Amino acid sequence: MKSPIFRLTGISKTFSGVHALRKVDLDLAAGEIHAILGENGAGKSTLLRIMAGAEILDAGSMQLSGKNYFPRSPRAARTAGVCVVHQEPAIAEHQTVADNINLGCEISSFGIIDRAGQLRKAREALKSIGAEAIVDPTALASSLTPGTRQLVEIARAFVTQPSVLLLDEPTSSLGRVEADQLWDAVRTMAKSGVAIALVSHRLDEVRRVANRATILRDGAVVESGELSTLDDDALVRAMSGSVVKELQARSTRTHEKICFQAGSFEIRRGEIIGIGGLVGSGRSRWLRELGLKSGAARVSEDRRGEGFAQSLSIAENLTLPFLDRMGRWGIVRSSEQARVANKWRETLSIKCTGPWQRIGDLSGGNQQKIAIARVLEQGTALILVDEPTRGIDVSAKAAIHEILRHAADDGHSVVVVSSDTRELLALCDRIAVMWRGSLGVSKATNEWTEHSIVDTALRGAGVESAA
Amino acid sequence: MSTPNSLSGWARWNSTFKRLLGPSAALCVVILFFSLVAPESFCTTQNARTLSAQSVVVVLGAIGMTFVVVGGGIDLSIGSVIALSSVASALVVRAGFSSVTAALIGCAVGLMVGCVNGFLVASARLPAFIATLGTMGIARGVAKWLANQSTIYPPEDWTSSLMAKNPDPVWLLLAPGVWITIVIALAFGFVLSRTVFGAWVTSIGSNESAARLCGVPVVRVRWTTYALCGLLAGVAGVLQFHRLSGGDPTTANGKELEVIAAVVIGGAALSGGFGTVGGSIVGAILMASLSNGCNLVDWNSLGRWGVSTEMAQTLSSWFGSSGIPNYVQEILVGVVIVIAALADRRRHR
Repeated sequence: MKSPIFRLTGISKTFSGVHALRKVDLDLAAGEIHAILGENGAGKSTLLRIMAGAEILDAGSMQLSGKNYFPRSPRAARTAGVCVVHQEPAIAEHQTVADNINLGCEISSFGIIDRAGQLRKAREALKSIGAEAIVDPTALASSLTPGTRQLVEIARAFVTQPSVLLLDEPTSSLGRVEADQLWDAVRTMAKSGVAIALVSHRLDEVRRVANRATILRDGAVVESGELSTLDDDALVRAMSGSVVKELQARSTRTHEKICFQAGSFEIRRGEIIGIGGLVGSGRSRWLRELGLKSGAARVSEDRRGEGFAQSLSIAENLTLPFLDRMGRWGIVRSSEQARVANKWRETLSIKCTGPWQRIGDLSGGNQQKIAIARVLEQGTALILVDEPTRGIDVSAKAAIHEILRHAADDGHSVVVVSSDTRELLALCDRIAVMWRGSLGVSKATNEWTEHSIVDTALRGAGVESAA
Repeated sequence: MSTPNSLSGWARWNSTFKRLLGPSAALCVVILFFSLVAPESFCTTQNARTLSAQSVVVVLGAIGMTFVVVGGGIDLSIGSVIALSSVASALVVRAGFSSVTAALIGCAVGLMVGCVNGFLVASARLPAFIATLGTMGIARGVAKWLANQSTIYPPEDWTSSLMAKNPDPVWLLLAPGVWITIVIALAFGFVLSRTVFGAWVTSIGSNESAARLCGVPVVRVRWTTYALCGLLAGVAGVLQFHRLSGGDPTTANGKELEVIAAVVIGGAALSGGFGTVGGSIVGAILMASLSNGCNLVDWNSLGRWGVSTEMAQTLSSWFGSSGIPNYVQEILVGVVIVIAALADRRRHR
């Protein structure tokens, strides 16, 4: 291995008495792609934030190209050559793509922005990540889809020519094609000598792009080495500390009664239908419209924006859609809210301090459980779930699949939109693929393969217009 | 590459132009309306001078407020700062110092309050509404205290031509204070739309965490917007003192709301991230034209446009023979604000 250009030694960090990181060592060599793996709450994000200057370490030291590196702000980190691409794209919607790409390192003379220069630089950056045909640098950022926002963030990292690039779940909102474009761009960057650290939950993805991996559990390094020497089982075992059940394919059963029908789309009682397709193919909009037509409860893909009031408690969020049931004469009884919250906390084993904990303090997996609890409590026969396990760790993922299966066994009908092909195959009874706004005919899961789903999503093979 | 570059310049200019179109059209309608109902008095050189002098205070306030609002904040202390600055200026003149010294002191007082606002909002992270509500009260109280609750008049031999409606060198056409305002408007318009600082202000108002993560010095930039707003309120206070020839601690009461209204009418988003200095100025002039024109309306002159005498008399009996009363003006301004907000909502849908 080449000598490391970025070296972390004995990094520790405590948040109000809780150890987030304990004596973490990490080496990044120029040109390598290094995966940082771990369950939610293992300390991956904290480690990344410390490297990026967004958090200050309690103990330990960092060396960048042989010099001491101690960033006190993201700005300092960026100046030193450490750049981050965030899971939730940090985009100023009112500004153009070019302005966003150059944000924080504007091209200017005497404080006056050189717009033509910025545009040129934005074009170059977009070109070098292969996105020049997808993203128009003169467009307003508010017109971008979640997928293209991520590409803008990566272009933004490009313009600073960093020596270290940190990627935090960069593909969690991307479809297959955009993700591949992204990895091409990241590989190009690695070839030019940038050291890349990658946090991801998608093991297949990590395996495809990364050279080495470091696995964190409860804030400490439990495993580190070349990926070729670690098999999937070992990775999962190291992350979870136990053997996680493989995603199990659902038994094919026959379902009799039709629960809902719109056009050629129909779903039967106790059935789970999966909707595949690329990001931007219109799946989420279709799901939203289905929700309006059928009156079904929907779990949004956007937990922060559409899902929860982050500053309110678990109980308040959970009972929000049916507050009228929580008491009489318009008076909300908090004991009733707590009862409902506690019931689901037990059923779905939600990790929290109690029904009145702020929902924003919970991990993504637990938030998602509450989102699903909310639609179950609403009691509609049909349940719509958009990207149920995006950005969620392996064991929480399995738990959420289990919850959805149980719901179906109890007679609910579930529609799942997912970019994760394996998830669709493991979870659903039938699968249909969306292509350019139209939904293909649904077929039983055993008639699909991973390859045929991706192929249909890309090329619309055999897609006939539905409704 | 030159073609797409120039295209982008055009696109940027074009979108700004479109956003200015609504407020500008509204201003034209108002001017046209008063030109019809008050032809002898509204559409004259003399009234243009009066109107420009009347607009100066709100225009200056609106320029500063544009920076604060685009950055996602609000400054309620403007009206009080104008009063404090004019009182301070008047006291310095009364103490025997030159007008220039007095003007500098007035501006410095504004800048100081602006810095306090900046500290409270950017560094101490108080909600802007609450912090500036506090400084609004403090500045007003201090102004009344300094002035001993009455207007401070400069010595009798003191004269100022800064806000004279008929400027000393006749070729100036408008009062020197108006020219100062125009220069400030051009400079600050340039700063907001063309400079790194302007882009940073916009990015903070649009998405603060994105700005922070990209290394924008959020605290410093936000701080500066409040300081600038205070400074311009200070300038406005100095000009107000010269216009009234006295430092009145109760002047510009409620001006902050007029200023905010001007900024909103000019197309800025109160949630931050968008706004133009040009739009805010158009909004400010629109508001000034409304109150100026309403005072000049002469219903009897409607006869020349074919309106019957009875109709003119009916209008006179409703609204009084000369001028539209204050309460109607207030209603009109309110209606304009609501229409501006509705137009904004439609645009963003």
